[in-house]
Amino acid sequence: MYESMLLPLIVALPLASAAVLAAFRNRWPHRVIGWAGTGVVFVTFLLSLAAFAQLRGLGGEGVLRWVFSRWEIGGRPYEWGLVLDPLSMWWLLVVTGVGFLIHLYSIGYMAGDESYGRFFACLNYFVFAMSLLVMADNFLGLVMGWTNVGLASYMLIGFYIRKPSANAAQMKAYLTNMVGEVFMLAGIAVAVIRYGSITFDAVFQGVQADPGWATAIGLLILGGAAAKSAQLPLHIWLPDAMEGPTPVSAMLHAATMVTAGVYAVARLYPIYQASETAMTAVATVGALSALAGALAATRQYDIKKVLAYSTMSQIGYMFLANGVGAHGAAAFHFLTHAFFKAALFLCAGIIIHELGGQQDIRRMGGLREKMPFAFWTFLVGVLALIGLPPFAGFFSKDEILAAALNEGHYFLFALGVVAAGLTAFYNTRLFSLVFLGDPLEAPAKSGKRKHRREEEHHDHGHHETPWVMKAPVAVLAALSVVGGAFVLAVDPYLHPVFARFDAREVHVHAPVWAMALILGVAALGIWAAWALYGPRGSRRQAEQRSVGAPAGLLGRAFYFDEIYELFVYQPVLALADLVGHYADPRGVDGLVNGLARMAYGLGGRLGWLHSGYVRRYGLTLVIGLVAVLIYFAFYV
Amino acid sequence: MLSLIVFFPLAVAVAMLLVPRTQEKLIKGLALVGTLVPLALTLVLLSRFEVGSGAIQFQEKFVWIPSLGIQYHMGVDGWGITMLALSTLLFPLAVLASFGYIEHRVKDYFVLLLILETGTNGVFTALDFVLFYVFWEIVLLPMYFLIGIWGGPRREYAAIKFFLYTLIGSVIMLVGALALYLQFPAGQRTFDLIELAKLTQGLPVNALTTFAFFALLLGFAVKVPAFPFHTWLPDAHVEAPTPISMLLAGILLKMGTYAMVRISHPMLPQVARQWAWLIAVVGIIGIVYAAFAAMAQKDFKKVVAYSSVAHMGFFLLGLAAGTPEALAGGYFETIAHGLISPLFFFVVGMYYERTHTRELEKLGGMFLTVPAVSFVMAFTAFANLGLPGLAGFIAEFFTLVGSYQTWGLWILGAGLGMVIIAAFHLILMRQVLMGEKKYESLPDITPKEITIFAPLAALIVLFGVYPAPVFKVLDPGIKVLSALLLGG
Repeated sequence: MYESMLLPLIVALPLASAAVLAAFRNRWPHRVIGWAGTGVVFVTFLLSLAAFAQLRGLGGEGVLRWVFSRWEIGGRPYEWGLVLDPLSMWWLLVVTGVGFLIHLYSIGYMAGDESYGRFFACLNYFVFAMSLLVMADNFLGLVMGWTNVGLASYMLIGFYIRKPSANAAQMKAYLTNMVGEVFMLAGIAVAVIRYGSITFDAVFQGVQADPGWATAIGLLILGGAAAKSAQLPLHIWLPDAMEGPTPVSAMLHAATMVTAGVYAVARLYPIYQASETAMTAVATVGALSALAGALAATRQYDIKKVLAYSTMSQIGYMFLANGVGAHGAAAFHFLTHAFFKAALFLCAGIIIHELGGQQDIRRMGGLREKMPFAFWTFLVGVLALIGLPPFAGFFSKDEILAAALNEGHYFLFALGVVAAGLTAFYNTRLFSLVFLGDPLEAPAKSGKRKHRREEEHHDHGHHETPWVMKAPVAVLAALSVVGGAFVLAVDPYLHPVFARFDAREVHVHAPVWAMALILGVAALGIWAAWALYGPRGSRRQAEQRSVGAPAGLLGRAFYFDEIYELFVYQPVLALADLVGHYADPRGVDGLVNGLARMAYGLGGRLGWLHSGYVRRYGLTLVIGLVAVLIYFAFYV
Repeated sequence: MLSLIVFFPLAVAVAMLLVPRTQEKLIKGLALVGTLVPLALTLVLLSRFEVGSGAIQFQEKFVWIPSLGIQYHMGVDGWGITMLALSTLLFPLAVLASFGYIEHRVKDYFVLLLILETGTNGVFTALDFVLFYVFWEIVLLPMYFLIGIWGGPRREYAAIKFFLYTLIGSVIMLVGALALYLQFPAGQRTFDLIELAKLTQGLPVNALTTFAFFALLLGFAVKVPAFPFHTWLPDAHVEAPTPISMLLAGILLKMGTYAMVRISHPMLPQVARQWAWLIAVVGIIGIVYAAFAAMAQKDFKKVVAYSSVAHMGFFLLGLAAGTPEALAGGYFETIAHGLISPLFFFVVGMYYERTHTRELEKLGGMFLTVPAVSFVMAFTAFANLGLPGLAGFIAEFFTLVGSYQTWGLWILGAGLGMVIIAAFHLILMRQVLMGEKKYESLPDITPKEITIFAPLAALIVLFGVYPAPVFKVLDPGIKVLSALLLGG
């Protein structure tokens, strides 16, 4: 254990920057704001590297710590502070590193926006909150980071504050996560009371011999993790979150924030490993989400929504990895996914940028010649996402499916393989519709307007792409190619973390037949999509001519939105109406006013007592006297 | 020192009576002095307060009516000093908020405001029931006039409702206290809250103690206000002028919560234990019910008013659970709410002064119109919905943790309330802040408004990330009360 002042610095720097940028957002020129905001994240990345070196210097099981505050309640000690061990480090480096690249990209992407300063302030705030989340050494700090990344997400999804749809999306995101958080808080309450501490280590010690309670805690916290990571059935907010500017989608809603649930389960692995039920629940949620997300992605028309459902699906793989005990594989897939998914989103941003706000893939096609840079980088991203060797995604997805197989989860393995085939399918469809073949000659007007999501920002037609936007995409694409090499680093690096509480050893090497099966299914997916949506595919023309929002079971993503609308939102609003307009003013307050009227009426009737007639007062006096005498005679 | 803090505002009020009503500047200056001096004195006391000691500190004890066991007994412990600090902090801010806002019968207004402070400070420092009761009633009258004279269109209805409701509550409370007092032979009788509690803790649970407990509790519950005795609150808030709403939500409600941890529960913990479930149910219903009610409101101020009822539900839930964490969280809620809700009512006032409406349908697009005021609103709304990192969250976190120990996963009921609370805040922000401009240009935040926002916001953030000092002050009292309530 080693006290390091780097830890508070890593958290405080982006927070301070967010405050300064917010305060001077309308006074400083855009150039200053953009480069200051980006520079701060770069410095934070450098500080994280310094901490990395410091941590390496400790060797073995050493961790960096910084205790902020201690107190007692009724004799039970509480403390909260920061910790940096290899698992936190892994996440922190991606958050600050990829975060820096996306900040850089935003300098170009957001150019000319009326709220340029607010954008960078919010993005810096996110880096602060996410760093806090991954460096928490206790449940209180975890929740603080957890909800504050949610706040950053809320502010950035609703960034275009004039748009009602953006506002609806931000509320949906915050409230869905709030539901998850309530379960998480309940899980934390159980852990704190049962093991007498909010620090992770004390709870980890406690759950070792307490599998029943580990199940309860694990399942409750899974509720929070599933909401944050857009897993079934709390995934509904993520596709809508694409209302935010594209760099936000890349950073929060693909590369980093949505993996907080993956991080939480990996961080709390002793709780999950103590309970077979909780593990299976995590794995099942993950596998089903991987499949459902991939299925929904096959029928979307908005380029960002395809990628959003793809994110849900890929995080499903990470949950599956966690659920079968391969936490290293989850961390590895998080890394490669951050590279290729951020590359894809930023690339999509370039396309949207150059097309003046167009996001509908039916209105694209044949962009290969017009945008060679986007073509090549998107291709790399797609191949990594499909998981073809030697691209990064191959190694990480392979490890996850192998782990599921080796741990005997054959059904979940099968789900994962099917999802892999669908991943190949929707990616090929997406790539072909955007870049290959010919565009549709005369775009239908109505469909176009509906899908011009960022029109406020990109309303002036064609844009040139500046180098600040291309450079991050190039770096991320390069990492998507070579990132698979981290396969050699991940397990040795994270081993001390998982050895501390004796995580089970999971073999992540697939037998040859399984590897062949996975690749074969992927090839099948590519072939099928090529036959349907390739340049001369049979469904291509019909797809391009269709208008309106996606329909059908897959287009509507299994009607989750409709179900929640019917069974949650409408009843809640009706209940609010009932309480606010009837039960309270007429029921409870009606009763109060009724009592008051009764008292008033009674007062009127008793008024004859105060009549001023002495004889009546006399009568009252006598009655009272008699009553008192009777009382004394009989009862005393 | 405590007496000085309590009576200084009253003395200034008396002095103010001698000032001609045309001298408004002098009157306003006097009002500031009359509220700032108690604040300064309280800060001195805080610096001298012995943290970690459960003893009553800064005691003042004089014989008053010895034949009836009535004393002039003042003193504070952790429960009292936190509330005293809150009260002395909010009064100067309310005075500041009144400048430029109250332009009619200025002298009468500030005289009443200063008398009100004597009442609230007295409630939090008195340790003799009769003295406590006197201060409790002193609060009632100025508040009645402040709503009834300077309020909105239905001010008379609201003022009378407030007055009658709390008066009936306090009379019932008095009966409860007398019932306990009369339990003991003439020589032992005392109204000293500390001494009386030692005696009453030994009483058996029977019809009389149960009656006394509920009589006390009812008087306090009206003030809190707990469901279903809360309906005076939205009316009072809607009609009250902004600074009075700030005080009503920030301090007057806390008289009820403070009285529960000072009187009803320590005096009759044996009865409280038996009926804890009922208080918990009332608390949880209050959270969920008020949150739903808030969601349906069309008046900005009513939304905020109902949110107070919901938050006080957390206090009741924590009190009913009785574990150290739950008591700490519940009481922390009263402090956090004491900082956040005045700010929220002030925010309502900021928009009202600019647009002359509180109807949510007529607001909207404020983020584009008045960005700084709207930042204050967003900050306050997130603080009120319990964003981690701000004071309200610490309160809800520990209330939930501690309540789990007693109530198990029934706390998910409160959790449902938290989701609804978040929902209506987000709806509120949509209605007020988001969308296109509805007003072309309005003046943005003024230095006066920043002066009121800054100290409250600083404390909300400070206690949100660094709650340790508050918990250290409260801990000894929590240990004692928790041991009583858990029967340990």
